[in-house]
Amino acid sequence: MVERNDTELMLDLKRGNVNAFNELVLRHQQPLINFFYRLTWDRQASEDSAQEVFLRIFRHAHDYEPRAKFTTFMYRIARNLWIDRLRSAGAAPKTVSLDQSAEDDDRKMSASLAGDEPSAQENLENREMIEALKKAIERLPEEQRMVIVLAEHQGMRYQEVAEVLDIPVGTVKSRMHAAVAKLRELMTARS
Amino acid sequence: MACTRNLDLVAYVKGEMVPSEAEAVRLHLPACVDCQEELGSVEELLGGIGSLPSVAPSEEFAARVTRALGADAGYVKLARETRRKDREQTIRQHGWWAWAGKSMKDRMRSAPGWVAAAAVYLITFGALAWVLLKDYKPSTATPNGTNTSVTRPAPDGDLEKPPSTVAKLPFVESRTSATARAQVTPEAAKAIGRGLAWLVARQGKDGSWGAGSVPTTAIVALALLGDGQRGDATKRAMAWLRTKQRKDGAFDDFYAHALATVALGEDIAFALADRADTAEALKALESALAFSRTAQFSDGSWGALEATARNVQAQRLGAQLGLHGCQVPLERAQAYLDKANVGDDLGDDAAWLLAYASTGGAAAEQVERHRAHIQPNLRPSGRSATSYWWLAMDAIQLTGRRADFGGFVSTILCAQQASDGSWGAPVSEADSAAALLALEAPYRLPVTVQVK
Repeated sequence: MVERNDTELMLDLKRGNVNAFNELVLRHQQPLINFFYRLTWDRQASEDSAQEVFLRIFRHAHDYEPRAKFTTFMYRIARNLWIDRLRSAGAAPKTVSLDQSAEDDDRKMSASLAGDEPSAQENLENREMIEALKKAIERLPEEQRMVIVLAEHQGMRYQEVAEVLDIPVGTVKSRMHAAVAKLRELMTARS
Repeated sequence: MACTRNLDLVAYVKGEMVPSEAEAVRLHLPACVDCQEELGSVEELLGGIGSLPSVAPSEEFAARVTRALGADAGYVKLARETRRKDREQTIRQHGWWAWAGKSMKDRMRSAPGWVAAAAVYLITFGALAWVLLKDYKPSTATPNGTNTSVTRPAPDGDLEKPPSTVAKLPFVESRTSATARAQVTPEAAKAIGRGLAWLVARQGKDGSWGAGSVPTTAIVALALLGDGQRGDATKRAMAWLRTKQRKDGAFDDFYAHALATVALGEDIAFALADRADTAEALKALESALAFSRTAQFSDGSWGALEATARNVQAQRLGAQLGLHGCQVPLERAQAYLDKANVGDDLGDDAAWLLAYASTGGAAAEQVERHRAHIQPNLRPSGRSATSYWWLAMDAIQLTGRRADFGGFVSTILCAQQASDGSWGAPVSEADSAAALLALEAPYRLPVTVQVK
């Protein structure tokens, strides 16, 4: 059976096929949850937000026009939800603690940071570095952090980031450049 | 940094530069130590960001989204409509047993892992236990040291009777009674005769229909038995079906299994009335009923409502024949049906009603509610319609409400029959048999629940 692309699934949903919606959820749940996870470092809150995004997608399916990629449509909703939550009282990003990270079963460390068989000392250093990097990203201005999450974590091209955020590609470039410069500065100051 | 070129090395690393810019950076880098250092630093940083922890969705996430949408009236309506379309498409392509089997598989898939694992375990262990224990009778030592067999208490109370003593079942009588048969119109009687003749002429040399299909052979056998026909074609069909039974008692998927089991039971009921030898057939039936019981879900269903309805019919028949263990699954099924959330859908409502009436359930309010949903949803179109007619006719016949639309269905089916006696477009043996079963309903099934 030929796998339908996201746009076909959305159009199918628009025509009233809920199976298409279920397929979209299964296909995009992981990247969407991780989009919020990189902003909150809180798994439960990330799943709650991702759920809300899927509900909004369902409710707005009748407005969907295949002008943009589905992921652009989805992350635009996700980004708007994130902004709403930031604006609402008490929804500021949580500070990451070492304990919280330790509870995370699904963490991964790339070989570049962790090595194949790191010693206890190396593990500790890697962990400290990861925590430092997380905190540095949290200190970025919101618009820079969003660009980092979309371009680095979600693996989007600048053009798609620009479409999600509704800004020129040049602005994405400059925000990305500024974000990396700031992060290098923060990480250098730490070491 | 001493270099004054102010290159965007982030865009360079990300491959986001236009080719001419990237080429300029490439040419500049070998000669600039500062930019080389910066490039290394950017790469390390971006690598670090890319390696930050990620999470996998919790197992229940997708189900949680669906549940959250369950409160949305628009979603509920769409889900129902999708299910209906899905069902019609599957039926159109593969026959309705495929739908019933698919629903069961979907349900297993969507169940939490431990539920699916438990179901597999129970089915496997249950079947194994049944094979090992079916002939077991506990023994106790008598005071003089000899062992004597102890008869286990009957799980079905007063239903526990040796099959040989079972009185003629009502349907055996009605299928051959001129009075009962007079309830169908002369046109319907003629259509039934032509349809059965068409099917008999198409029986395979091995006794099967549908080129060796268990569900098609079972449903055609049911249509023949439904008309009280126990001639050569029926005998060959039953013999062929028995060869297709697995060692664990199963035939095909849950739905096909139930159809074959009901066919075995009806055949035995006729044989008992004739005082014919039923030993071999009874063994097959008991084994099939036992498999059906081990396959019953913990919630009392057999997955899809249609599969549940037909399995309930099979257990009911077993209970009527006085076989062990058939009452408990009926009670469990009734408890499930009491709570089952059934949408406004012809197939589901009819299946619910058929299942409920077959369990002996008689809550008038529930029966009436589901019955009221059937008629407005009857549509005389679509190739799959004959299986709906059959289901709907069984449901209203059992609840004593044939007058509601029995005549309407009969008229439509007579009009849809092809000149050679078949139904379906393209012609289908299974659809033809389903049409016949719908037409035969007035004398094929006795009223079980009388709803005023």
